[in-house]
Amino acid sequence: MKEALHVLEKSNMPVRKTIRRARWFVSSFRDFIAEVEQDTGQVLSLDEPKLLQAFGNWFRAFEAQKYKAQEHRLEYVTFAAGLMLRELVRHGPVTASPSQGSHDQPATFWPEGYLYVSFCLAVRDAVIEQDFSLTADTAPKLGDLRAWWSFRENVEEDVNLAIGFFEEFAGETPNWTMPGQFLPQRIEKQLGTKPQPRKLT
Amino acid sequence: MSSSYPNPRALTLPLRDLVRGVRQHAGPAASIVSHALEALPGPLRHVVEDITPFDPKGAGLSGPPSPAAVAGAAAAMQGADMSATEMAGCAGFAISVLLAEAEQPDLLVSETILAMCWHDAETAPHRAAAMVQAMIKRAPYGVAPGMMNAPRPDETLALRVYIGAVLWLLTEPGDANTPEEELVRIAGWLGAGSLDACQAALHDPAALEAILRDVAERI
Repeated sequence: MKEALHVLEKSNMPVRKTIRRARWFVSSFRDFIAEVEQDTGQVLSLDEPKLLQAFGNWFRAFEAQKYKAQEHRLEYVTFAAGLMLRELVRHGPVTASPSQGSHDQPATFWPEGYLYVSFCLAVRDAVIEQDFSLTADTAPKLGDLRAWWSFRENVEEDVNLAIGFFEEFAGETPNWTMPGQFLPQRIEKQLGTKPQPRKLT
Repeated sequence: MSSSYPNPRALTLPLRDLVRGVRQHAGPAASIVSHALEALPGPLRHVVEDITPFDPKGAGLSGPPSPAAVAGAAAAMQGADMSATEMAGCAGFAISVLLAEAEQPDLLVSETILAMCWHDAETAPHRAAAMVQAMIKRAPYGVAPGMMNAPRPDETLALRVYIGAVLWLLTEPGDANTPEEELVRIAGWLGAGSLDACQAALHDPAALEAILRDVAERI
């Protein structure tokens, strides 16, 4: 769904920098909500002060661990998007109107969570595509309702687990022990065994 | 007796402040007479309406400043020249948006005092920090004289408003995608998140300037 981030293209900066500016973050998030509403039929309302709180916390968390990313920029993209998901889940800026239909799809089971995950994945994919000329493979867990059920229940207990779930949704091996810490060595070991984003042709 | 500040009597700004103050008083009166106005013939009605216009957001301040003025204000914060009148217009706009956001639109913003704040700040080495400090010292908004029911300004809100306004002054202009009102609100929200850090650095202009610039870059 990264096409919904077209507003970021209006900036003359790369996506990885644009998304760190509140004005672009807010406008792209707002556009993304409209896109998800159109796709899912859900009615979603946005609390912008909460979104800005999430943005502010994400930015600080992002900057705090950026120094570890020098040799591991690709891995840090996923981790940073996971941090973004953590802050969105923590601050909950979106509220979905109750719907009558079945709740057997991630988008209907937890509309707000689905929106947050989709947005963070779209940002991650856009950065990976632009900076590394790679495209991410579809992650099987993304459509698995049991994973979403577990995701929703676990983040209520510990919001840091949102980062681990994000890594899982992105098709990477999650760091469940210390999900809030960027551990590039651990990721390096996994790189040999895990499916990686493939080169754009 | 000499003063380093311009004589307010020499500015046209006090008159503008005065007119806004009068309009604020005219607001309730306008709502009371609005039904009676409907009975008046057109030309007469328009004359009376012209006397009593009331803008509930910003107590009659005009809309967003021009893109050139906004860009000029950002440049002025970095050291460029800007007239006190223009800076006061920009800062007044930001403060009025932030007050409306805080549901305090009835407080009167004085462009005259803002012009004086800019006179304080423009000669300081750290202009953004000096502008915040000048606003704290001079209190550029408040209750219009004679307003009986207006809420008293509170100090925490005031600091939040001044920091938000200066953050917006520091940032680059908006565009069709993000209008200036939205940027002011974003500046206000991000400013609220850095309020403690700013408060701790209030008496250290270099540190306060660094915090303000850091936050403004995120807008």
